[in-house]
Amino acid sequence: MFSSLLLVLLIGAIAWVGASAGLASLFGVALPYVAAVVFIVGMVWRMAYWAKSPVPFCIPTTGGQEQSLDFIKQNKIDCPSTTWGVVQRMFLEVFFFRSLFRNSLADVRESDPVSNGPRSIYYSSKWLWVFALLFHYCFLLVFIRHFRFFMEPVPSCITFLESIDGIMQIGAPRFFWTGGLALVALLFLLARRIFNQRLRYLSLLNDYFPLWLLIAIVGTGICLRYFDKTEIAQVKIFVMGLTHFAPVSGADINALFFVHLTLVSVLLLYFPFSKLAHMPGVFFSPTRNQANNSRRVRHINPWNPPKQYFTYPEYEDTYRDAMAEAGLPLEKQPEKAAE
Amino acid sequence: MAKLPTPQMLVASRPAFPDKSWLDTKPEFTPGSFCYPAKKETMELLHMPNPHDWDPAAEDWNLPENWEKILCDAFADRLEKHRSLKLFMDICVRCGACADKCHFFLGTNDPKNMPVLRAELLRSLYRRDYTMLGKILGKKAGARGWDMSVVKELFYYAYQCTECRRCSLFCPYGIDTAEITAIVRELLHEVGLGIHWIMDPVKNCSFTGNHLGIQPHSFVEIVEMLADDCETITGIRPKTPFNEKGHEILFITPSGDVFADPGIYTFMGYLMLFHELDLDYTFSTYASEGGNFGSFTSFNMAKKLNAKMYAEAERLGVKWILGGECGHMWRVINQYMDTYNGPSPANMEVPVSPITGTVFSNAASTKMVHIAEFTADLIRHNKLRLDPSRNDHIITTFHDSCNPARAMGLLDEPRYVLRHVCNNFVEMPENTIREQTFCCGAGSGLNTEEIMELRMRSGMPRGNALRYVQQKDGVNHMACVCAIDRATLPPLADYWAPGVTVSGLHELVGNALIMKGEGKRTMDMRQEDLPNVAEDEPEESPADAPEAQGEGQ
Amino acid sequence: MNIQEIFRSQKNDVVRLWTEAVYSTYPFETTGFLRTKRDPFGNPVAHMTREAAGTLYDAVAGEEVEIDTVKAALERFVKLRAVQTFTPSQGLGVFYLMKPLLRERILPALAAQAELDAYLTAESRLDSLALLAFDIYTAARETLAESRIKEIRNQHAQLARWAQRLEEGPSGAR
Repeated sequence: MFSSLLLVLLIGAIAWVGASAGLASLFGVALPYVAAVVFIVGMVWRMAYWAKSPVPFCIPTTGGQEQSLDFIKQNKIDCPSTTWGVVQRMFLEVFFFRSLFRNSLADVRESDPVSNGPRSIYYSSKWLWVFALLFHYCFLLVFIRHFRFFMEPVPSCITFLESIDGIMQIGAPRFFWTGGLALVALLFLLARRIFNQRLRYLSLLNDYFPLWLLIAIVGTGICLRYFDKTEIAQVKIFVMGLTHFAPVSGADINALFFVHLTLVSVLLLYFPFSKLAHMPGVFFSPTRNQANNSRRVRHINPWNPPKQYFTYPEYEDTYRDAMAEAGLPLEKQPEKAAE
Repeated sequence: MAKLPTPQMLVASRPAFPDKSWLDTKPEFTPGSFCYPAKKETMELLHMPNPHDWDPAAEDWNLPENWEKILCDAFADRLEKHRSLKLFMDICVRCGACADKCHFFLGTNDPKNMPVLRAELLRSLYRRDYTMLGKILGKKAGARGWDMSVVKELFYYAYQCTECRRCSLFCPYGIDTAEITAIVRELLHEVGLGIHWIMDPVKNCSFTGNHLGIQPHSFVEIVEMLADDCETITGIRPKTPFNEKGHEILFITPSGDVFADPGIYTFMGYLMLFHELDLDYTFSTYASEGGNFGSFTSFNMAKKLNAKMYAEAERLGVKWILGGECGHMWRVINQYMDTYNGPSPANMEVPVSPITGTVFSNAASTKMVHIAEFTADLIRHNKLRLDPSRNDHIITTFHDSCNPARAMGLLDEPRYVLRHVCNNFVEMPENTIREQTFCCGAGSGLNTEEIMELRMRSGMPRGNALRYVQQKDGVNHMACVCAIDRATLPPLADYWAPGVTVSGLHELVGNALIMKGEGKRTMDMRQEDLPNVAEDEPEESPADAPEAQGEGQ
Repeated sequence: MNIQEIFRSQKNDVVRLWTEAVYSTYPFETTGFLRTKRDPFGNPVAHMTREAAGTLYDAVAGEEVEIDTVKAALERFVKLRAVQTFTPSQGLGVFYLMKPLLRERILPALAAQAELDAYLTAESRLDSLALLAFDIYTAARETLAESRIKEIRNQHAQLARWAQRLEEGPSGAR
């Protein structure tokens, strides 16, 4: 937990020192380019790596009533039998974290009227779902909002998004709630890992590192906007230079900006090789992206081995006499088989 | 002077939370914590790789010389074969949502029974060989290499998972621990590690067609005894057609229901139902095992045992197969059968109920229908005369078996039947039923008596839920649609909710079924006195579904 | 304060400490999950322990409690201990973990009022409760043993009947 925090701080410090010492082009130009290439190639490679292995069996986890008799109501989303149903299920899964929404908590109810004392109950617990959803959506909106640095003119939808985002009209520049909420959600997810003993036991460096990294990214971003304010116009010229493959000098820009940029680059570098790959991964999940129709439509296994089993003729050969005596129908009567 | 230990010393207080990480704590193989190993001869007979004698409690498991290479290669092979494995190794974010969903974790409190850590045992090995971080950072990033203690750990926890998929339901990425457990068991079989309770039935099913290895003629006699019992109860002796060609339907059910109490009463329910319908069907001695113990061993073994169903359907020339109540049997039939051994033989057709004309289009390819679907359809079309008051002495609840619930979605059909054959039906608490059902604690081949204590612990969440409705609603019966449940739930109920009996769904159907020309019922299927029998002729009310009549075609 | 009040005033503390003492008997890799103070790991094990703790204390304190209530409350806790990886002494020894707590919390107060008798009676009640638990424990182990036998018998129930009939065959013909 601490080593990953130190690692993130170290990355930030290196970027700070580097940018201050005039290596802005290294941290502001070379690193982002490398990171972008690694991210794209890495993600494609990762998805190709998954896709190379076949899905031999149709193994959806059914979360409701199957399609069966016409008077029995099917749960078409949690137990889809058609592609359309699967699309709906995946949509809910990806956009609303359906499975996490189902989360329950095993707990003890202190005084239960039936058992006259404590009782184990499994009640619905939505905290993880709320904060996970909050983080992902806020981060997505923050990401989209950043397109105003990449595009000229700024598309109206992004301007609109910004006006919504700053709707509370607090402070100057106006406070964007997405950034703040993303930070809150990240801190919840981190606190959960640290204070929930179960989670702390199973958490690894690879769990804390992305959290600290994201906190640092959001944190530096917020600093750049509200506290250690950067010259937005300069940043935009610099970023536009990057996106048009004609980098300009960023020597005048605040060093903190390069810290922010470096941390984002590190995130991109880290992404394809870590658990963060769950983003594309969820689309591949065979327990979610398949229809529960394996009795109606045959699923093909490309490596299906040849059939090898104890066949009926072998079986009858083994037990023929006894079967004949019991009067069971036979393919070959004992006297014939003996010939 | 010898000092007596104090109670505190006896109960041995332990230090607080472990200092060592999960990567370093190792399981202890104490009696009762592991299943007995498979016999060498059994493994040889089945041509399993590297058969050998070994003892889980021993230091040395007598693995083949090059076991590490075998395991590494096998793991690489499985990664190539299963996208699910690659994915599940890569994308877990360790959010911990699965932790308190596992009945083994709830019951044992062993952190490695959290589904995430159970998978992490394998994932740590994956990290070392397949991820950059693991290669660079090693243990810091949760990576480790193979060694003997890791193999033991995998064995220990792969046989403390019933492949019930409850965690998979809650996982935001659908990571399925059943898949991981199944593959870990496959890997262990590569170096000759298997358990007796699974491999012995596999051997028997493979060579004789039933899990006890009873030869065909004896099997028939045993079934006939059950028909005799039906006669004792109803005055009508149902027919028991065996291995006959030219029938419309082949009926396959777990052979446990032919041998084991209380499964036999469910089997009698089938016999009576089919007789009453005058169903054109046959049993087979060759394919007499619906349950597939191979599915607890390896995908290939499951395929091998399952192959007999279609082979026999083809030989006997039936149009479709009707399957009895069983959990993992239906996981195999619903999700694997057609893929393993399909397409179905040419003589088979899309199943159509000969009584109601209902086309089971949901089984169009596999051509195999679940008995609960079949019976629900009969009741819906008013084809059965039922007297649910014969079951008035019980207040029943329904246990959803893991596999039909989470790998098939068979939830409402059995409930529909149950509501029509029983007047008193109560659900267990929400979040412990339907797709969120808790396992009986001993599925996937763990229903062996040497781990009885472990089973009581892992079945405790189910036991608690049962006890709750026992206290609240006076429940005294639990119905289920799984042969393993019928074997494992009675001891569980005896321990955690004494006084609750367990039966299959069709035992209750048989009880309520009014057969044409039957004698007056004075006893239930277990030949115990029916408490609610009126002195005079009970009024005959067709108690079936009154609501909106379904159309016949 | 009278005796009853002394007992009642200490109930929360003793129950809590005893519960913690019970948790600490679990194998070291699991205790953390049970013991966490603020995250009272909500699982059946914790629930059964707490169910037992309150009633056990009331019974020791000499409150008006029905023997059946006590039995019911202890039953599942003891049954749980009976299927965990404990020796019988470890399984049941936890009841005596309450004694040091009583001696620390209750004894001084009662001694100050010269009510040693009342204290000793309470300890004796704990002894009786431990014996009651012993009965439950033994019954639970017997149920388990029976389950094992029954299970094996049930697995082959029909087979056994069939074998019996085969044996009867010739005798039936006589």
